[in-house]
Amino acid sequence: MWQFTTLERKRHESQTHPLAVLFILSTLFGGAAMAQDMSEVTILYWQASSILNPYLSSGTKDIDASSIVLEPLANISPAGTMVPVLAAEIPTLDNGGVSEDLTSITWTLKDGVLWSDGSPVTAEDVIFTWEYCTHPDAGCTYDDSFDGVVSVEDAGMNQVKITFDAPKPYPYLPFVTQTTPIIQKAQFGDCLGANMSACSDANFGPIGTGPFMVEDFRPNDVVTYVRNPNFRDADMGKPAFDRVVFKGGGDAESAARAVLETGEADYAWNLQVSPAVLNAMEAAGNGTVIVAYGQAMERILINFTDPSPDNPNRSVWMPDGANAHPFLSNKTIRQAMSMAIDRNISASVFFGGDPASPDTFQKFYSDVQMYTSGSSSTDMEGQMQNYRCGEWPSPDNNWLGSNILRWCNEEYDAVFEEYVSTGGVEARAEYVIRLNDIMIQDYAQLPLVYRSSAASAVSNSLGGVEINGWDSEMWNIEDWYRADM
Amino acid sequence: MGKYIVRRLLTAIPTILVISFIIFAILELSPSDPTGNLPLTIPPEVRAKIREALGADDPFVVKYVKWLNQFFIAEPLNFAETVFGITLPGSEERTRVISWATRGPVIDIIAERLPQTLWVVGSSYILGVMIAVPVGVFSAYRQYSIFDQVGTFLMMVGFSVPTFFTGLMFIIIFSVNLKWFPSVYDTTLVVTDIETLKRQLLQMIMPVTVLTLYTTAQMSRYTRASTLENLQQDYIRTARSKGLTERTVVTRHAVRNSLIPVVTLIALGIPGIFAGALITEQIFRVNGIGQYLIIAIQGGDLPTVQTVTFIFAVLVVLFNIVADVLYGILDPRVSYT
Repeated sequence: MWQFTTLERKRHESQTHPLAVLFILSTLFGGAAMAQDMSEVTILYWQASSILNPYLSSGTKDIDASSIVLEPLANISPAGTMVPVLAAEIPTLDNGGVSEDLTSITWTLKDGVLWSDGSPVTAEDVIFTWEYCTHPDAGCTYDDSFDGVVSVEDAGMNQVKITFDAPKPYPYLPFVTQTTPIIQKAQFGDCLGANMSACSDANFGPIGTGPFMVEDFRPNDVVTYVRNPNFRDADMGKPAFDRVVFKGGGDAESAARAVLETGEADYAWNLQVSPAVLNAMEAAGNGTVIVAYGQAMERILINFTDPSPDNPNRSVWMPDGANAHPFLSNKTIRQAMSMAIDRNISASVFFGGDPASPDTFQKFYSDVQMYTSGSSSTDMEGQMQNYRCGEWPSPDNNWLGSNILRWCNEEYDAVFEEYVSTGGVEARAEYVIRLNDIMIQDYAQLPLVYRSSAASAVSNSLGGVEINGWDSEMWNIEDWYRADM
Repeated sequence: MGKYIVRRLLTAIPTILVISFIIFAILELSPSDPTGNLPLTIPPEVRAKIREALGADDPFVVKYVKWLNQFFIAEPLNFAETVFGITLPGSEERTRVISWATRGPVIDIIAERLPQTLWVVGSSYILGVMIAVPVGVFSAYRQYSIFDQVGTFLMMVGFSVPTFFTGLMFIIIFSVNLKWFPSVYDTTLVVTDIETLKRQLLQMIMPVTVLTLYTTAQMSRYTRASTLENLQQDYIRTARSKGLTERTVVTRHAVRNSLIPVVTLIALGIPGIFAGALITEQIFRVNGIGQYLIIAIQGGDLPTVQTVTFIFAVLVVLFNIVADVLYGILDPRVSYT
């Protein structure tokens, strides 16, 4: 209520009719409120952030808001490659960071990195972060990133060794990307398990290593950040801004308008708005719409089994081609279909996955279906394992199989077995390409369009933005700067 | 009168308890899920663990009793502790009403947001009433005049056009085209000098106007109808025949009586200020109580939805009593026994 009293007093002092004051002010100074601030960047998220601890987050908005403060060992760049953040380099088989038997990975922390309170970042903080998220009573959102981790230990010399219970060909899930950043042991030490929720102060204002630190957090409303004087690249003039305002609420369309038309904000996230509306707003010339690409590939799935309604084994795979599709099992027909598709289409169809419904994408009661999916990881194992023989959905497994195509290829399965036991990012990529070739050259799926996974609006006066489909959109906020209009 | 108030307050207690139960039951039946907004890549087992940690899958009765305990025992005790700066026994074990989304106390967020809502929605309510009463009285006094016709038309428009439409129109006209007022409300703004005061007024103009338009439309219709009815009463003819001036007849006799139903209506509308203007707050990003409720509903944040809705229900019950009491004070014909 302080606002009320202050305002009332000022009104009485002036002894002028309030409406007259409003009118004069609005005509004299109206435009001034819209001016771009050189030292402050304003970001609009129409879903407001409720907590600044990603391990307790209930959505992307929380991850992105906390990524301005908290940092992982490595980020994933828009191109899908790993970029060291708190780590000195990316551990690989070649540099000895990943063990030959693929059961452990050793990260080396950068020298001299400080928390925003001035204390040094140590291996203890990394170990604590793992303990924090995997505590049995935690209900940690990114628990599955630590699947198979047996121990996280201080290996001396600023190194942290993560050991897995079995060979892990892709060991880059723990502490990579903004979903699993390092939190400070000194701050969160008493917040384990059931106490997680009691630590509002820590959850609302985590101490981090990022370019900014939390100044004020209003849950489900706005976060304000100020420059972190202890940021490791501070002597390089980073970040360029003194303050960040991360405002939540409203809707996607008005967020886009605030960047593209009124120029009140610099960045608006996840614009689920029709392209026609966005194009019209872009025409105002204040900013542009940028898109991120992740794994979202829109494609036509071929049903290799007979989906006829009068077939008692409708869409169920049977050995020896007993229930094969009458014509789609013929590769020449699938090839002809692929060649006949006009790929300049942009329609999209969504399917639910409720097993009680007669029409789910798993049941596949049709000859073909259009589908878009993707995972958030750059590693393809989770995707590629879907298309092995035997993973078919059927009434026996309550239609929960992943090989929706009912496709079966022995060569694919053999290559897949080699793939899952191979370490090294590049070697694995080659296997993925081989697997993809086997499937696509058999026309089991007909790719249509590589869909963007997110669209955001960015002001023309904001430079350095690189939207990211693999990691937080705020992943490189230390490089943002005020561009000349 | 005192007896009557006490009796009404006592009967309000079971009413409030029943309301809290009904709200809880409706929320329980709704298919909301606190993990619903998580990225699709989070597996179902992890979701189940999160729900378990929140207590979201506890039986209905357990959750309800827990909430009753938190709201009616823990929260008042905690309030007493902060106000008097004391520590009561058992302070450590008490859990307050904790939001599933922020993992922080719901009441603290409500307290944080109340100024915004009162400031924007409250001032529009006061402004609306201040405009509506004279407009309604004058429209009735000069029934079928140009003023009445135009006023009635404008009020019908204000009443029928929804706030999400007028809000959007205002943004497009005054923010996008004229660039006079900001379309994004800055809740962190602290009024310290003339410059910040100016910014505060500028950002308030559009949401306040949108809401005032709606309140004025509603209130002036009631005022007009009530004044019309009174102007045809015998006592008005008597007053005129006594040779009183028109001014005295209208202001001293007609208006005073006409305002009796209007005053009760104003009292009944006050809980609505607390609830915030859900849509208007959302459009202008005022982020008060109304927007908090919307976010909580979207996020399946049951403790928050329950608490905010319940506080609203309590205010409705209380202000109903206030309205009834006011009616008795203003109209001596009504007696409470």
